Amino acid sequence: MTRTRTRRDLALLAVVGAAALALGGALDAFRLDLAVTLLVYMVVAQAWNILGGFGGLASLGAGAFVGTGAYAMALLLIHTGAPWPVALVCSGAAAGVLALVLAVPLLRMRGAYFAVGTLAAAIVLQSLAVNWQWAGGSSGLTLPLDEVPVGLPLYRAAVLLAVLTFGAALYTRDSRFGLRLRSARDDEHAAAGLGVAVFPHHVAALVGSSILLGMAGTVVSLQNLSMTPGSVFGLLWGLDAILMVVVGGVATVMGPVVGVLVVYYGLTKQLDDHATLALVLQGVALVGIVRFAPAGVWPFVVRGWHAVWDRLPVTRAGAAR
Amino acid sequence: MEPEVLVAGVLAGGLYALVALGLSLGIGVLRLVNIAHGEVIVGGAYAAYAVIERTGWDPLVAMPIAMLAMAAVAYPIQRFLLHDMVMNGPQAALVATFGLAFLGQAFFLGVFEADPRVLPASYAASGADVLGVRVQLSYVVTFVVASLVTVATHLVLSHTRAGAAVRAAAADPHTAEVLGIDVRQVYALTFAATAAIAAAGGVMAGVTQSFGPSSGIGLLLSGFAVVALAGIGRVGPTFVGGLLIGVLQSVAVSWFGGGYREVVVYLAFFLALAIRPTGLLSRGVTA
Amino acid sequence: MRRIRLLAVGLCAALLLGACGDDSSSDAGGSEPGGSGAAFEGEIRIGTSQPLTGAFGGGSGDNPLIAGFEQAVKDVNASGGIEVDGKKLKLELVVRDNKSDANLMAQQVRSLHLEDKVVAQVGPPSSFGFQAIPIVNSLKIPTVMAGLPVDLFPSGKDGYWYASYLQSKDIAPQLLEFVSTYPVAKKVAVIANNDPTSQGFAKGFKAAAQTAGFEVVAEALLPPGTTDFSKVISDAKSKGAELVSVQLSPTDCPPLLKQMKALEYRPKVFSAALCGLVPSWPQQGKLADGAIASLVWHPDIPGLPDAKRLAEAFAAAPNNVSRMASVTGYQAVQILADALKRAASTDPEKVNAALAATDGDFVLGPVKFDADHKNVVKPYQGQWQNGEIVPVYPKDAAGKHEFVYPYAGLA
Repeated sequence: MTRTRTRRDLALLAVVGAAALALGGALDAFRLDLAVTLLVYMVVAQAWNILGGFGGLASLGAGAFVGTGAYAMALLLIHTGAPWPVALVCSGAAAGVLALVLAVPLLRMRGAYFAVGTLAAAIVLQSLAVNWQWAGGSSGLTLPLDEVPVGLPLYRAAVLLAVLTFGAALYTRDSRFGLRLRSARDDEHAAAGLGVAVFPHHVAALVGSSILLGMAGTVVSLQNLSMTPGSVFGLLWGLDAILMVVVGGVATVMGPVVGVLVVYYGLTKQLDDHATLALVLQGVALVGIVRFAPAGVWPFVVRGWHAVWDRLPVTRAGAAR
Repeated sequence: MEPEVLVAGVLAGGLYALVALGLSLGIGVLRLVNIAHGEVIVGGAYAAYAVIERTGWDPLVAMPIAMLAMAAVAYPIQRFLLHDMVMNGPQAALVATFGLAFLGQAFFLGVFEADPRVLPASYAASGADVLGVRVQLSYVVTFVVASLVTVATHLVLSHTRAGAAVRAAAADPHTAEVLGIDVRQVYALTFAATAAIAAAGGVMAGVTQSFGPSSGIGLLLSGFAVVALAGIGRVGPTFVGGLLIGVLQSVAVSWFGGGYREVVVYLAFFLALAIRPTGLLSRGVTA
Repeated sequence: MRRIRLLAVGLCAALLLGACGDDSSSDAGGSEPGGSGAAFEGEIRIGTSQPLTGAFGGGSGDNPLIAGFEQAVKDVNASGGIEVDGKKLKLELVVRDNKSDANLMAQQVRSLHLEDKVVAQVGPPSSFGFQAIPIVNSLKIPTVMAGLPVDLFPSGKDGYWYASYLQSKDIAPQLLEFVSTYPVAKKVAVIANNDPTSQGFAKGFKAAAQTAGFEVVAEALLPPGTTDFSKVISDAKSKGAELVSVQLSPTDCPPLLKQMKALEYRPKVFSAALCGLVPSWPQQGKLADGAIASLVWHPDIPGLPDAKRLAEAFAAAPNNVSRMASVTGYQAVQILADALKRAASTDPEKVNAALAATDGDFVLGPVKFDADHKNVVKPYQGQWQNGEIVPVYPKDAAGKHEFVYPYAGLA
C-alpha cells in the first residue's frame, strides 16, 4: 500500500485511458458498440465494488441509481435543449442527490437488511415511474435521435467515465479515506472506537458510487435510445453487479474488469440461442467459480501467476518482494 | 373500507407468510440470503404437479411428497456445497444460490416447458360465505396451511432438543460446535426444512395462482418484503408480516387503484426498514 | 503485481481488437433448413432477438413463433433461395435469446446488425418491439415486426421498420357488434394490465364500447402478477356487467377466473384478448371453456392462402392458437424474403425501398404497407370450445362453427 504503487497504478490508468481514446478511431462500429457495453458494465461493477467491496455495504439496488441517471438524461434531452454531455453530468448529479436523500434511511441498515433496503428503493422508484404519466408511464421514454451521440463520441464518453470510475476505485483502495472505510467494513465498532467517523464515510461511498451508477445509466440510455421503468430500474442491474464483482474479485480494482469479461463472454454471450443449455452452463459456472475461487477469478489468477512466476529460476533471484 | 377487502387481504397474506418463512429462517439461522428461494417454491409446485399428473390426487395430499422432495434436494446442497461457502463470507454463498437459481430454472424449462401451469383442486374456484363475507376457499385453505406450518415450526424451534440445537447454531456456530453440536448437520437439516416450507408455499401458490419456470423471482421479492417488515428469523412476526403485506396490497388497490399495488407495499417496506432496521415486529436485536 | 496488471490489460485490448469479433459470425443458431437439391452459392442472413427464457419465455424447444420463422426459411430455400447479384443465396436465420431482458434485447438488435451482419431483422415480440424501434431506425436495419397490433405503434414513416397485423381498434367494434346479437345487457367490465400493450387495448376497447352504446361499469388497471381481483369483480357483479373484456398477461388470467368463480360472478361473455391467445389456455380445464379471443388465422377460415398446407406443417402444435402464432411468424419472414428477392441486394436502402413497395398475397392475406409502414390484417372472433379454438364471427368465416352462449366456464 505504498505511494509508489499508487502512482504506478494511476499512471497505468492514465496510459490505458489515453490509449483507449486514441484507439477509438481504429475501431469499427461493432467494436465501438461492444466496447461501450463492456465499459458500462465495468463502471456498474466497479461502482458496486466501491460501496460493497471496499465499503462492506453490499447493495442489490444499483438499478435505483442507474434508472435515475437514465430517466434524468432522457427528460433533460427531451424537454430542454441541453447538449448531451451537460445532461450526462447533470444526470449523474441527480443520482447523487437521490443517494444523499436515501442515505439517511439506508445507512441505518447493515448486511442483508441493507441489501434488501436498497432493493426496496429500486422497486419503489420503478413502481413510481410506471405510474408517472408525464415521464411516459409504463411505456417509458424514447430519446430524440438527433441529439444522441453515436459511435465514436459515445465511446469516448464511456472511456472517460470508466477512467473516472477506476480512478475513484484506486482512490478508495489506497487513500486514507479508503483505509478508514475499510476499517469500518472490517469491524465497525472497533473503527468507531478508534475515532473513525463511520457515517460520513459511508455516505461518501454511497453518494460517490451512485453518481457513477447514474452516469452509467445515462450511457445505457444513449446506447439503447429508449427505456422503460423495468429496463433501467430493474433488479437485474443489482444482481449483475454482484455477479460480476464476486466472480472477478471483491475489493480489488482489477476484479470488476475480469468479472465483466468472464460473465459477459463466458456466461451471457456465447450460448444465446440454446436457452436451456445456456442456463445450465451459467449456473454450473457460477457455482463452480464461487466454490473453487471464492475470492474471485482475479485473485485466483494472481495466485496462479505467482505460483508459476516465482518458481521460475530466473525470477527467483530477483524476487525481493 | 369494505370488509371483503380486509378479509381478502388477510387470507392472501397467508400465502406471503408461507413464502417468506423459509427465506427468513435461512437468513436468520444460516446467514444465507438464498436467491434461489423462489425456485425452491416453484420446485415444490412442479413436484406436486408431477405427482398429481400421475395420480390425480388433491394438491394437499401431494404436498407432503413435494415437501419431502424439495427437502431431499436441499439437504445435500447445503451440507456439501453451501456450508463451506458461507464461511467465506455472505456474498460467495449468495452468488452460488444465484447459480443454483439458474440451474433450477433450466431444469423446469427443460422438463416442464415454459407454459404457465395450475394445480387442479376441487376447491380451487369455490367460494364460501364466512361471517357474511364472500371468500375464496383456496385462500382459506392456504391460510390454514400457513398457520399450521408456522405453529409447527415455532413449536419445533422452542420446545424440542433439535430446535434448541438450531437456535444454538444460529446464535453462535463456533461455540455450538465446541459444545458438541454438529453444526454442519444442523444447518443442512434447517435448510432442508426451509425448503420443505417453501415447497408447501409452492403447492398453495399453484392452487391459487399459476406458475411457470420463471415465477421464482416474483415470489422471492414478496418474501423479501415480508422479511423487511417482520425482521429476520422470527417465526411469529413473519406470519404477521405476511398478513400485513396482504392487507396493505388489498387496501392499496382498493384506495388508489391497481397501479399503486406495488408502490404502497414497497414504500411501506422501505419505511419500515428505515424506522426500525431490524424489522417492525422484531425485538430490536441487531442482525 | 504490476506485470500481471499490464498483462491483463493487454489481454483485454487484444480480446477487444481481435479474437472476439469473429467467432459468433459463424454460429447461425437458428435453422439449417435443407434446400431440396438447390445449389447455393452463399448465404444471406436475417436475425431476430426473442425472449426464449425468462418471464416471457417460450423456450427454444417448442416456441411456435420460431417454428413459424423456420418453416418460412425452409420454404424460401426450397423454392431457390434469394438471388443477389446473380448468385443464389441460402436464407439463414439467426435467433438470439434475450432472456426477457430489454437491455439484452437492445444489445442483440445492435450486435445482430453490427457483428453478425444480418441483412434484415424480424422484430422482437410484445413491448420489446416498441423499444427496438429507435435502434432499428438509428442503425438503418430493415425490420418487420411480428404479431403486435399495428395501431399501438407510432408512425413508421421514413423509418426502417414495418408492421403487418390486426388493429386493436378493429377488435372491440367487431366483438361488440357480435355480442349485441345476443341478449346481453350493455354493461361491460374492463380488466387490464398497466403495461403499454394492454393499456392500449383497454383504451381502444373503452372507446369502442361507448360508441356501441355499452356502459363501462367496472374497470381496473393492474400490474402483471396481480392475483387479487376482488375489487373489480365485486364492482362488476354488483353493477351487473355481463360482458367482461380482459387484457391480462397469461399468468394473471387463471387466478382471475378462479376468483370470479369463487365469488360467484357469472358474466355472459368473457373476452380474453391477450391471455386467451396462448396455447396453454385450455390447461385451466372447464374454467377456460367459452372464452373469446381474436384470431387472424385459422385453418377453417376460407380465403387464407395456404391455410391447409400450413396447418399440416404445424400439425404437431397443441392447438390452433399455437399454429396461428407460427403462421404470424411465418408471415414476417415471408415478407422479408419477398422484399429481399425484389431488392436482389443486401443494401439496406434497397431492401427498405423494396419493403415499402410490398404488394401481394401472404399467409395472413394481402399486404400493402401504407405511408406509416403499417398493413392492417383482418381479425376474426374465435371461441375456445373443448380445448380448441374455433372461429365464430363473422358468419362466413365461422362456417360450421357455432358460438356457445353464455360463457360455459363459469356456469
